[in-house]
Amino acid sequence: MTGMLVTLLFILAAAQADYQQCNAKNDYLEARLSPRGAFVFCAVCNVPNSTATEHFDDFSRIHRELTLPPACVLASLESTPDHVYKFGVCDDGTGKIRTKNVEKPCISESYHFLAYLSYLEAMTCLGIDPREMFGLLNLESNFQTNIGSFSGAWGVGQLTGVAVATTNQFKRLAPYAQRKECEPLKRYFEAPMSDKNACEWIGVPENPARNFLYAGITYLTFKKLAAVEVAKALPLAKLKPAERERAIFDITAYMYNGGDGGVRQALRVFLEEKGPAPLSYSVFKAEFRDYLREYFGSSIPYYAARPDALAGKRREVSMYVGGIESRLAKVEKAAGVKCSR
Amino acid sequence: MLTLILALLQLTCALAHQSGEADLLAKVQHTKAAILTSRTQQAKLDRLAELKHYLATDAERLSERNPAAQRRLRFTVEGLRLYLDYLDPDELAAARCARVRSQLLFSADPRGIGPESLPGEAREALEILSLICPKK
Repeated sequence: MTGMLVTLLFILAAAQADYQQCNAKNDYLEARLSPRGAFVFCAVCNVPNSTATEHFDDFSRIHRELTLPPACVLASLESTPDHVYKFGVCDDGTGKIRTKNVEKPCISESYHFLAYLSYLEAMTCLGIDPREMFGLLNLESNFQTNIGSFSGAWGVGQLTGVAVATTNQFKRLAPYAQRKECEPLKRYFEAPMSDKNACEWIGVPENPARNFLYAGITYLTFKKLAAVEVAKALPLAKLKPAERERAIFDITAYMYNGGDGGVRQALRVFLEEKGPAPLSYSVFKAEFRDYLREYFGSSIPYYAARPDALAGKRREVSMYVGGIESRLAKVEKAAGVKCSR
Repeated sequence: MLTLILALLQLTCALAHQSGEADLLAKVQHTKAAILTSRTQQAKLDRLAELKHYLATDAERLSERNPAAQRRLRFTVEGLRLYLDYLDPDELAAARCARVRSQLLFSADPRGIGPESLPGEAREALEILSLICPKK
């Protein structure tokens, strides 16, 4: 019943959505997606050449509960700033990413469906509520499959070589390979993604599904560490379950951006300085953010980082959760629906 | 008189703090030298285990004093403990050094910006790893 309702909502949303008209400069992804709604190379389609709405119907029959409205991903795609990020395409000749003269891709119905359905497939496979990671991925990439950063991170999860390498080396995808929910993404479990060639992280139609999978695994790896830290933290021991979840999410998000080493280091010293008295979530949230801004990366002079590099990293890490929330609020407003938990 | 006493107290604290830093650095350097001269892989891993034990004891000792006053030293000790924890003896005994290195880099700098953005404690752990891992 829920599935049917969501399907209906999706069809209505698609019918009402005012998709962008592509032009010669921004239609480069369209060549890999068939015109208007039908996938040619859809990574997540069970039925080849099915229309997007047919596929969605198929998908929602399999997964009875879809908790993320499609308007969220559309609003995120549409909110991508024009000149802040770089975009890349895989050059067929060299096999490398070309960024020169590559504009933001046009947001067609096919592209929206591909991003949305790939996201649902990957999250369903990993057992993550799609609303949980929505804000983080909205901040990282606006769900744009071929977006890049100047530090060499690519794709929807802004993956780097080291994140891909550890996922492969520690076989972190393996526990999910046999899950029924991962059946549509089976091919990605058989051949791991290269940690050297970033083309594999952005190329359509394998992506964004494959990139979402790796981003989800990276997120879960950090979440496990965050949960352990919270479980042994006396001041956080009395948080209500929902608040505890939020604290774990915040710490996980900080780790996704700054690494678990630095964040766990700061958290342990922070909690020790606070003493054993219980902390409310709101106090933890505000004070730990301020603490990160002030002390993240503090070390004795022998191990200290360059002051300018450290200041930049402190700013970036401490503002990460706030950034997720403010960008999420904008997207939810544009979408007219709730996209988070 | 009171001012003099306070100044003396401050000086004592500062000296104790500096001596804490010096002790830590000396212990790390000593371990590195010992690993370098150890003949067997097991002996190298034993030296690493000693350092981990020292850091755990040191962390406990530091947390008993006023933690905020010892913040940078505490950060450093925690950082070294966290990054050295990734030097898993089982993995190293099986010579899976590349995996260990990747895991350490991922933990310290998941954005993969490069060596310049690595925390100093992670660089130290990488250096210790290179002393333990057999040269190819």
